[in-house]
Amino acid sequence: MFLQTLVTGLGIGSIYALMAMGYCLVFSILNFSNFAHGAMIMIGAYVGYLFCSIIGIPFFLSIIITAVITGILSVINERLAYRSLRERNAPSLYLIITAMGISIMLENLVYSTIGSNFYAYPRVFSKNYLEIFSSTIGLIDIYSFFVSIICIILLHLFLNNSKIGMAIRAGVADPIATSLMGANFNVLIRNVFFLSGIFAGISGVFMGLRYMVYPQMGWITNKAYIAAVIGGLGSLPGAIIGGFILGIIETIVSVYISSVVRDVFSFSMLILILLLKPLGLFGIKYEEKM
Amino acid sequence: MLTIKDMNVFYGHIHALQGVSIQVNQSEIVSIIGSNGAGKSTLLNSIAGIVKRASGEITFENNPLPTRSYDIVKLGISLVPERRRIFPNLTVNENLKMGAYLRNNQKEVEIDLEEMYRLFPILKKRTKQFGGTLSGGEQQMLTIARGLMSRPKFLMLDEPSLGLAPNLTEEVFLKIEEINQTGITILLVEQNAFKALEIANRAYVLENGKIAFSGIGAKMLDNPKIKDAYLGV
Repeated sequence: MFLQTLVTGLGIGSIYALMAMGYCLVFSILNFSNFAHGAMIMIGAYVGYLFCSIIGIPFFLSIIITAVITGILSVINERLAYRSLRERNAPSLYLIITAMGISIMLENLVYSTIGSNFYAYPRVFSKNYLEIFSSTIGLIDIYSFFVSIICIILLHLFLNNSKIGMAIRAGVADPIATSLMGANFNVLIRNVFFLSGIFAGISGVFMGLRYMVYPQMGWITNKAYIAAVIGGLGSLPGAIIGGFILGIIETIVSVYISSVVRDVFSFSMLILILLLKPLGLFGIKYEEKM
Repeated sequence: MLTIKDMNVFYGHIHALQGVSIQVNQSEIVSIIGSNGAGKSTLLNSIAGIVKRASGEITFENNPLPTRSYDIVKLGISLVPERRRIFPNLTVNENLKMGAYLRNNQKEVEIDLEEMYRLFPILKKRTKQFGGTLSGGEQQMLTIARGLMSRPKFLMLDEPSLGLAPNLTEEVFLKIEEINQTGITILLVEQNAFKALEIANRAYVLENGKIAFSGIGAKMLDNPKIKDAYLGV
């Protein structure tokens, strides 16, 4: 029973981690919480459903196509909605409000075009459960865990070994000095939004597969936002660990206490961590040296 | 090499630079001195393209200067910004590589990295260390080295002695002269007016956003007005 709970927790946690990474990437470089990320995850779930169920492409191929599509949508979102604000040096608050607006707009766009029906993904795996040590382990948990781990490793390699990755890390610490090096900040931002869109698409497909696909599903991703805050907004390792902690605690609370109080626990934990460590578990503030 | 004609810069309602004109010739060291808030940094930042200018003309090697910072770096102009601004979360090696961001020939970049470690031996021991862990003096050496990694023809330095102990200040100025001797033109902004005038071929004094004096560096050291206002003698 405990093993099963733990694996489910890791499975859900890995999706939270993936979603939190998308929040975190944008926050770390632009210093605002991109609440349109939730809507992008919802669109990812629909796009994945389209390929997987209606067109009938194999599951893992659908994930890849979905990731590319949401990546591009996320870049378009930045170009149309955020860039002009950035170029006028608008305060972060304006960007946050714009992001919320985008999120509401996309949600209603789906309502008015596709409708408010709930859709369920088809059976994508031949077997849904594995029997290990007399526990039933959900295959979806295992797949989502491994897909997330692969994404985390690829992101890590990209940020640490590519020139653009290095410039993105530099831009996180000091955008102006990064521009002085000759980096085009808009190109860096485009890359960041593409990555965040990719993670939105992948996590959207897994969310849709685990639960259902419906217009307001983006709001579930508030949990991912909690995960990012717990870990320390702007810290990637923080987002990942925050995601896993949240997933495991939620599952344990649902199983051993009651699923009714699950969210009470998540939000209480958020408040407690912010009271004790206002920057989150891994939040960093760079200080300049004189 | 670089000519600025009648440049005006505003921060909101503040008229930070008021009709500034300066000229820098090939292989010179030109210093700009002035008190806090006179507009020295603003001048360098507007050449580097990170502060927008309201009016005025800048020409570099007889062509109008572009406005985007990355186009400016491409032309061979590099700014070593005030208060160092190294990347604290990148290693010393990565900080230097960021300086060479626009260069694609990896081999040449590696050669220049070695050259920087020769010029600033202090950094050699710290290659894998994060920039944020360096001391103030090491960080200053790192910013200068990073500024050189783009292979500039024209190097601007903003307050390189800020917050440094006197012996380190001395070392930084020696390095600046050494860099100049390799043929790189230097535009220097300094609060330490004495040092700045000592190494400069020519100098400008900026007062409240306007050029108040200009002249040969060594001669300005003897100018009673400048002595009184900036050298504190």
